[in-house]
Formats: sequence, structure tokens, C-alpha cells
Amino acid sequence: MIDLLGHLHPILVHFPIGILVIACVMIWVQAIRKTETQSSISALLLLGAIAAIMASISGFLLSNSGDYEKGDVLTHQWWGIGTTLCAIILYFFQAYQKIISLVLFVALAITGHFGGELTYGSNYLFASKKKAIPTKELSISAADTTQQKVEVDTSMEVLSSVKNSPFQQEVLPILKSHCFQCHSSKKQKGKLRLDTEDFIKKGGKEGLILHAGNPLKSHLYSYLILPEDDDLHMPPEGKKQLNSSQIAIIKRWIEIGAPFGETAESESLHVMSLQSQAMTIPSDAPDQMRSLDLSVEPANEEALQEAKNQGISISPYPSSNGGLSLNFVNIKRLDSKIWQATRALQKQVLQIKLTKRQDIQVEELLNFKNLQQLNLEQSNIHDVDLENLRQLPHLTQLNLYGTAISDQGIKALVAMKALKVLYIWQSKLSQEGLQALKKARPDVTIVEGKFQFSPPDTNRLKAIK
Amino acid sequence: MGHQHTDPFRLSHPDLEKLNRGLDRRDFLKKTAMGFGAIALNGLLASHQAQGQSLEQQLLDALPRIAPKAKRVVYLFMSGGPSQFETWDYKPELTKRMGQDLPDSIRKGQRLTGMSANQAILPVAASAYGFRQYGQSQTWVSDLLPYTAQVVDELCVIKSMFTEQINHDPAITFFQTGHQLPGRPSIGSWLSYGLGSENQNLPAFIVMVSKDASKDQPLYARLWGNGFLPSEHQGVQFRSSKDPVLFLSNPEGYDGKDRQEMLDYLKQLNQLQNESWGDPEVDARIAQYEMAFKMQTSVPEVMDVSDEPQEVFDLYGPNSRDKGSFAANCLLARKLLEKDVRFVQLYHQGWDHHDSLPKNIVNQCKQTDQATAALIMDLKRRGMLEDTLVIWGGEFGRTVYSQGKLSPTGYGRDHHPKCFSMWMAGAGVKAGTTFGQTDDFSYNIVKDPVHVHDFQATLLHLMGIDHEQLVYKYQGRRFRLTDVHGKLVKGILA
Repeated sequence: MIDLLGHLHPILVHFPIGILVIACVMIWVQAIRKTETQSSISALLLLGAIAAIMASISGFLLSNSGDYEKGDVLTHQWWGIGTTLCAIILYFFQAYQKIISLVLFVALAITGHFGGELTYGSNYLFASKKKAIPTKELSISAADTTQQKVEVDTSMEVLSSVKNSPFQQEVLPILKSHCFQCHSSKKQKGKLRLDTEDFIKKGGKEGLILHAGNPLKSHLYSYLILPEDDDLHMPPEGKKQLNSSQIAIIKRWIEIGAPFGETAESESLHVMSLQSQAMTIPSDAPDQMRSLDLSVEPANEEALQEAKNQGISISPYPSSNGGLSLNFVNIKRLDSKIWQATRALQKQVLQIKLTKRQDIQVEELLNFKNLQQLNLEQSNIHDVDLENLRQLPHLTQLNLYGTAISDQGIKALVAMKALKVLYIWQSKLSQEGLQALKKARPDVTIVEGKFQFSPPDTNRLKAIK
Repeated sequence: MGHQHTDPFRLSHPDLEKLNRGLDRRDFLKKTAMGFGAIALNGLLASHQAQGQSLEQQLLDALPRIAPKAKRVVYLFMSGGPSQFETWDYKPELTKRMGQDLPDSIRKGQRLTGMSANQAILPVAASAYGFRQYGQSQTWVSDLLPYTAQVVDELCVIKSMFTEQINHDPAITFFQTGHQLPGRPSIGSWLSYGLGSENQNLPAFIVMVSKDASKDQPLYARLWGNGFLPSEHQGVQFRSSKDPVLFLSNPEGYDGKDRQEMLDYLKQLNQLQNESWGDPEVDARIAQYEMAFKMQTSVPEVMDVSDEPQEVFDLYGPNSRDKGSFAANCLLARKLLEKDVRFVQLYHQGWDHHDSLPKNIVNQCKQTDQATAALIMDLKRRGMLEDTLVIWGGEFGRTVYSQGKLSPTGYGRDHHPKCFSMWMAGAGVKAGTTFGQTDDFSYNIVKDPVHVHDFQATLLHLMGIDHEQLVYKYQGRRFRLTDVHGKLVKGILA
């Protein structure tokens, strides 16, 4: 019950502020306009004084909850009591009400301001409208930390002296911008502080918040990924939320053992988390799954959207990090407009599927220098085009089934250094040509498709007995 | 929020006038009586529409993606519970124990169905058919599957599947939706919801049911239902009759242009309704009409097998020209996969062999064996097996003991959930391997058990989805295909 009264404080404070401000205004309107509204003013002042008393009581109860730093609360507390007294005096002494109302007005503003600082942080009012620190700036945000260090916290100095520490450079800025408001020297909601190593390791009211190596067990991470409307979700609903890469950084930091000092890791947490995001493969997965032989920088969102708007189907390319597959199955006419829409993705595209297309422009394909896989089955690709495709240095897989590729194309196929898999079923390659190709490139898996079942032994279909 | 129409189309019927005016007082009261939620939803949808992106899309965009191994799935569902003893799980020891009572040390008090629980003796029945080793992998395959045996080096046979259900409907429902009770979305619907349709002219989830199978156990359309997901994600059943998809073709004397015009107006009406009510099902309805119109041309095209060469029909076997047979459906499945349909599911009933198993299972295998193997090889030579996942399996296994009398000419097998075999092939799975192991009675799993939820988690993983991340909030709770279970079966991943 006492808790509840305390929690009502943020609601109750608005009543004295509103009512008393109206009373002050009415006192001055009455004085200037020479109207008679004293009875209304008195009623308002009485109401306001009672509201102020209620606010003071609830505020006092709230301050005892332990979530707030005593020193800061005291200032607000005495200003609050002063304001309340001022309202009471004003109610009883009409003689000096013009002067006293001015004092009351100022006291209200100051009390309110200190209260606001308790809730929203000390530099809330005059802080610039800087958004959540974008992840891109994370690497340089260490400097940012030092700059504001003095006004944030002195305990920071101990930590920030460590260089090349992922905690310092990447985790701390996130904690600072999203958590310190309630979990630092100013306030300790849930008896938790996050501003020093010792405090983080100590945990809060509900025990440890950090289990090195196990993010799901660590409330420092698990509370972040709860649905936003969950009571335990952090930061609370309505507060500035962490974005997904910031959450990923914290997860990664816990995964690597939550080191506070320097680490041997060469990659930043941000990069590591991106890698694990691209392929969320558990660390004990088979080796071949973890080795990402293909890694490209992630595609630009707008570029992806532009290509999608043209009707191109885009999916991640298997076993790659950031690589893309383009499928033109929905495109009716493959013209320059379509190719234009893929310009910004040329680095990321590792597979293009042009199955059954009669309108292929090979020179357009050559722009995709990282191309690994090309599906040209049942298309109108010709031997001469293969000569051009040689310019794709990474082409490992080529599907030419059902095309007019003949022995004329063998020379070009042999010269494709990276080639590993080739589909040639129902092409015009002769048996001799195929033998020559196999001999020249024994390293290439050639799927001929000449598969036939051998007829089953019907005798064996009878029961044994 | 009155609507201004600049185009010639205008609603004029008095009942529809309300739509023109948007919300009037009575409407408002009616809606609030139905719950303020509707109004909140209205606003929510409107704001998302304003950003040009549906709420659903925003949620899905936030879904972390795993680079997928598989782009398509074809799931050959052997409904009824194929016996593992006559197909994949070779138990030579059983011949010695033929007719003996099943030891309690094996059964361990496992519940039995009412069909065999009261038997005085549970006589062990060995397979009436021989097994041989095939391929480089030297996998044991029953003599009943001579064609699949020839492609065994492409398969990853899982001998240690287990489920929690002992009766058909809950078991199939559990397999397809992750829950024994009806009402959850099917695997294909989850994939359609999570990944969308690659080919805009065909549904992402297509189902075909064999005509030639014996219909011993019924199938319900809810097995490919969307559950609580928006309706456009439900599986569309293709039939073998003149109209592959019901109610798709135009009425006589009604041409495509008329139909398009009618649908355009209908869409406007639906959109008005949507602006006024904000019910996501109206979106689904609009999407479905659009898809249906596109399917008027795309479906006849894809269902037409007339330009397939004789060689293809020979490959899929003698039944492949018989529309609606499993073999013909396999061929159609390949054609749909070629068109980048995300999830094709074939159902073949008739595996529920409580009696006369040796006689009945022969025909069952005959209907499916060759076409199944043909589908794998057909996909392979086209270069599609590397990004298509092929799945074969039923809802549970069968008992080692005979249900009813064990006679020299025949035996039956009852339902057995504690172990059964299925296989996967193609994208992302280890070809030519066997996973898991059962005891000498194929009664209990002794190595690497795979739960139905594990299978589902692995399937989603191969399609590039973390099964823990693909959620849908419904009735205040976030639902997953794998509920709160499911572990990735790493041992089968290539």
C-alpha cells in the first residue's frame, strides 16, 4: 500500500502544479482587471495546497523506496516542502498575495525541475536531441565517453583507462545511453547499478544479471529481448529502446565471456555479432557450416527494395555472409530497366537464376564480378556467350541443361578456372566433346543426367516364407 | 473520413452509402460495442498503411535470416504410418524370435492402442521381405523399394524419429502443425508467412492428394490450413479433375476481361471495407482474389504435361500418365518446383496396415516407389536437388508385434509412436547417410532420437528460418511451429 502511494507521486505532482499555477494567474488577473474572483481563488488555493501536501507525502514515500540517490532527492524534497508551505501561507494571508504568488510560481517551477531531473536524468532539459548512438559510431564513441565523463560519473575513469577493451568501446556507450538513467549513481532502480564493473558483477535486487558465456541466463541480455510490453522488458516500455545491433553487441560480449578488460579478439563485437546474425549457427555445429567462405558487405536496404519493387525475387545465397541470389521468375521482360535496378547490388549478388529465359544479355551478367552460380538452364545461351562468361572469375557453378551449348563451347568451359559443378543434361554436347571436357577438367563435377533405372527383380517382391 | 472518388466508380446503393461516409455515429457505437480493440487496430493498420508497409511485413523484415540451404521443399507425406520393418529399418534378429511374445524389458509399459492392448500375446513378426545393401553408402533397403534403392546415395535416412501421438489424426496434425489439436498453421503456411511467395503467380503452398491410394484413413483440408495466420497462407489443393483448382475458371460466356473488370471493382469495394474496418482478413481476401486471377493462366500452364517427353513418363513409371496418381503428382510437383513454388506437399494414404500387411504393403510401395525415386533423379539432373529439400515419411511407425494372429501368410502391425523411419534428400542434408538407431525390435531408440519438433526446427533451418524467431501473436500469446520445443538435428546437416 505504501509502495502504491509512493508510485502515485509522478501522477499526483501534476495537480498542485496545475491548480496553483491557475490560482497565481487568477490573482494577477484580478489585480490588473480589478475584478472580484477572490472566492474562486481561495477555493483553488485550498485545493492546490491539499494537492501539494498529498504530493509531498507520496514523494516522501517514494524517496524511501531506495531507487534514488539520497542527495538528489533531498534538494527536490525541501523545495517541495517549501512550495507546499508557500501555498498554505498564500491561502491564509490574502494581504501579500500578489508577492507571495510570484514566489510560489518560481518555487513550483524549481521543484518541478528537480523532480524532472530525478526521472529523466540531470542533463535532460538542455541535452541536445542526439539520437541513440548509431552502431557505426561505436568504434569512435570511446572518445565521446571521455568527453562527458566528468559530468556523468567519476567512477568511469577507472574503467576508461583500459584501451582496446570491447566493453569500454562498445558495451559501455550502450549502457550509458540506455541504462544509466535508472541504473547508475543517480538512481538505482531494482537496486541495480551498471556504471562500474563491480556493480555489474554484483547484480541487483533479483541477484546476478551477468553469467559470462551464457546470454540467455544473463538478465542483462535476456530482459532486452523480452516483448516490449512485458513487465520485465528493459528499457521499460516508452523509454528509448536498444536497436537490434546494440542488443547483438551485448549478446556477443556476454558470449565471449563478458570481459571488462582488454581481449585478444581482433574483430569488434559489432562485426562478430553481424557474422553470427548472418548465419545463426550454433557454435557446436559441424565445421563445414561455420566456415563462411564467402563474405561480402551487406546490401543497402534501399537498393534491395528497389530491386524487389521491380519484381526480382531476392534471397540470401547459401553458405554466404551477405551474399544474395536473384531470381527473375516474375519478370516478364528482362530489359535495361530491370538491370538498372540491380546496379547497387552488383557486389552482393552471388547467384543469378535466368531459367528458361530467351532474352539474356550476357554483357549485363559480366557486371556481377562476384557471381558464383549462374542458372541458365533452358535459356537461349550460345557457345559464343560462354567466351564472355569466362570473365567472371569466381563462377563455380553453371547450369546449362537444355541449352544449345555444343562442342564449340568446350574451350570456354575448360578455361573457367573456378568452375566446380556443371549441368549439361540435354545440351548439344557430343559424347566425344564431353569426354574431352572431362579429361581437361577432372576437377569439375559434370552432371550428365543420363540416369535410367534398372528394372527391379520382381521375384524378390514375393514374401520370403 | 469521407471518401472522394475521382474515377468513374462510385458506390450508390443506400446500404453502401455508409461506406462512402466512413464511420457514422451508429457504426461507431456498433464497433465500440464490439470492442475498442477494433478501433485501435484500425488506427494501427492505417498508420502502417501510411508507411506503405503492412504490419506483418515489418515484423517479418525484422526476422533474422539464416542463409538458406533449401529454397523449395517437396514433402511426400505417407499417411497412415508406413511400417519401418518392411521399408528402412532392417532387423535380421527378428527372424529368430518370430512368434515369441514381446519381452516386457523392451515394451517397458508403453501404452498400446485399444486395437491390440487386449491381446493375450504380442507375437514378434519379422519382415516378410528381404533387405539388401545398395549404393556406395551400403544402406539397407527393403526389396519392396527397388527404385528408391537405386537413389539411396542421395538420401539421408533417419531411423530414430519419434512422436507423442498414437492415433492418426492427432499424429498427422502434430506433424503438420506442431500441435495435436487442430487450429494451428501447417508447416507450409508458416513458410508462406515467413518467406512469402517466390513466384507471384502461384501460391507458395500447394497440396496434392493421391487419387490411387486406398483411403483407409481420412485427410482433412485443415492439415494444410493456415490456422490463425492470414488466410492467403493456406495450402491450395490441386485436384486431378478438369478444374485443378476449384472455382478458378470463368463461367461460360464470361471472358477474362470481364472477370478482371469485375475483380477490380470488387477490390475497390474490399478496400473501402478495409479502410472502414481494418480487418486483416479483408487484406487476405484481396490477396486471394488477386492470386486466383493470376492462377487462371498460371495453373493451366503448369498442370499441362503434354510437352513432357515420353522419357519423363517412363522415368516416373507406368502410372505417371494417370492424372491424380501419386506418380502423376510427383511429376507435377517437379513442374511446380521448377516454377519456384516454395512448398509442395503430396499426400498418399493407405499405409495403415493393421492386418494383411505383407499383401497390402506391396501395392502401397508399388504406387510410390518408382515415382519417388524418379522425382529425386529428375530434380538432380536439372540442377534443382541442391536447393530443393525432398522429404518422405508418415506420422508414426508400426509395432514389432503382430496385431491379431501371426500366421504364415500374414500379420498386421499396430501404431507405434516410439520409433519410425523417414528420409530427407537434397538441399543441405547429408546424402548417402543413415542417422539414428533403434534396438533389435525397432521398439525403442538407442541412438540420436529425433522428435517431430526437432524435425520441424531442422526443416525451418534449412529454409533459412530460426524456428524460435518465427512467431505469430494470437490470443495474447506468441505461437511457434515448434511450440516451446525443437532442437536442430545437426547430425543430418551437410
